[in-house]
Amino acid sequence: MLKRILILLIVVLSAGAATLWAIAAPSELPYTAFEGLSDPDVANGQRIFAAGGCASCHSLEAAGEEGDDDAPPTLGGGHVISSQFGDFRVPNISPSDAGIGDWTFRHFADAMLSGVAPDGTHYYPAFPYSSYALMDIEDVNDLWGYLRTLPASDNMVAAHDVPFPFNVNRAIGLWKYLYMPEPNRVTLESADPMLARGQYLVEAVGHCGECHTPRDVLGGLETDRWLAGAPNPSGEGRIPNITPGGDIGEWSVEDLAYYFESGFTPDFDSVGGSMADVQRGLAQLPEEDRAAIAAYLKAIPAR
Amino acid sequence: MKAVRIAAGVLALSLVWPLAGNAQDGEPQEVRQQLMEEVGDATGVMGNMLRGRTEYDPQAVIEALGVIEANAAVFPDYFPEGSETGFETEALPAIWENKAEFEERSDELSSAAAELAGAVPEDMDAFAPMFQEFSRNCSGCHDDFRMSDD
Repeated sequence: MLKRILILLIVVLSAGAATLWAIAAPSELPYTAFEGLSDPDVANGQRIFAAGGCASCHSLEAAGEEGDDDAPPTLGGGHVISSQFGDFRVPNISPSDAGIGDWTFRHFADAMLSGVAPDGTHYYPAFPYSSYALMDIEDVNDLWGYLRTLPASDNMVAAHDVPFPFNVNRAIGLWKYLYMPEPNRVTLESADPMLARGQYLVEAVGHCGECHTPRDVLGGLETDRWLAGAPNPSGEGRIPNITPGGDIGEWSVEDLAYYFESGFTPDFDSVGGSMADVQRGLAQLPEEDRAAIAAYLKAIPAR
Repeated sequence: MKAVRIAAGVLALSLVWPLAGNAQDGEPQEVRQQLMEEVGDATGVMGNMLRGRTEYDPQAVIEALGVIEANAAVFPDYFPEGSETGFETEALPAIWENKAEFEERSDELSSAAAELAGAVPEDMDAFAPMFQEFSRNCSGCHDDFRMSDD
């Protein structure tokens, strides 16, 4: 009898393990996701690039090199993101052999929307694909078109420095199962298209929640405290609460939009820290996008 | 007209003088915070005009830039060894690690303010892009040397 219980237990446990293994498998986008896509709209790609602040992690300037703010950025990578899970080295995504010059759009879309690399492994979520997964594939296509126009860099970036157990690639699949978002992070009362645009820019493209929302022990976003502020991963200070319940609760929609445009708070303190790079991107957006982001931030639940 | 300018200058000085006087006392952390408060207020004088909250006044712009020029010139003097912490300072260790660059950036702000003060146009639409260019000095430095708040 005891032997049978033992066998049953082993069967149940291995079935469980097999299920987990299957859940954790990297899955690429289905072919149907690519139907009906036309040639990239490079101008819209540039707008998406600015809203996403891609340069603030991937540019050579982010890795400490001198650069010209007015020139198109060179996305040679090399910036290091330190975390409790290890040190992540931001890759070269410029169109070169050291970057993603040999990628197809399928590779890029799988990376952005599924967090899966061309070799079929999972990316670490330090690359914020759990936000980008909410993006429209048309915008990803346009962004791809814009990235191809940027300067190439031969910068070779070393591998991530992530110790066991976080270096078990398959485990990232379980993380994705737990934390890849439902269609939206918060539910808004209103169906105003401007709010919807703001929601898209904040939750998907801008990936604001990656810094402004606190994380649990496994590094997943605590969505019930959406944008409620979090410790600064660099260890200095805090990333502010940007819900109506936070410090900016008293700012008007115009104050917020002016901050995105100019980098100045209503009392003319200036933007600082990693937000300075983010704001430089926001300043390049059309006015209606800044207004949409501002409207969204006023509409989300106060925390 | 000259008399009006002198009167405006005296008025501006009388407004700034007591603040500057207070700023010289106290701990370096407090002094530098006060200096930067004044820079923020002076920036606000210009920014609020550009936001349409107050009327554009070139003379007031020149005075505001004078405050920034003066304060930025002495600002780095208030970061001695031992003032790295305390008084809720938001100064990053990078200031002491790259002291020369920090001082250079503050000097650049001071000279940029002086230069802009000598070129303030009568027309606000002409001033707007100049102010935008000038204000890069703020985030350019806060980016590297000040803690991101709250």
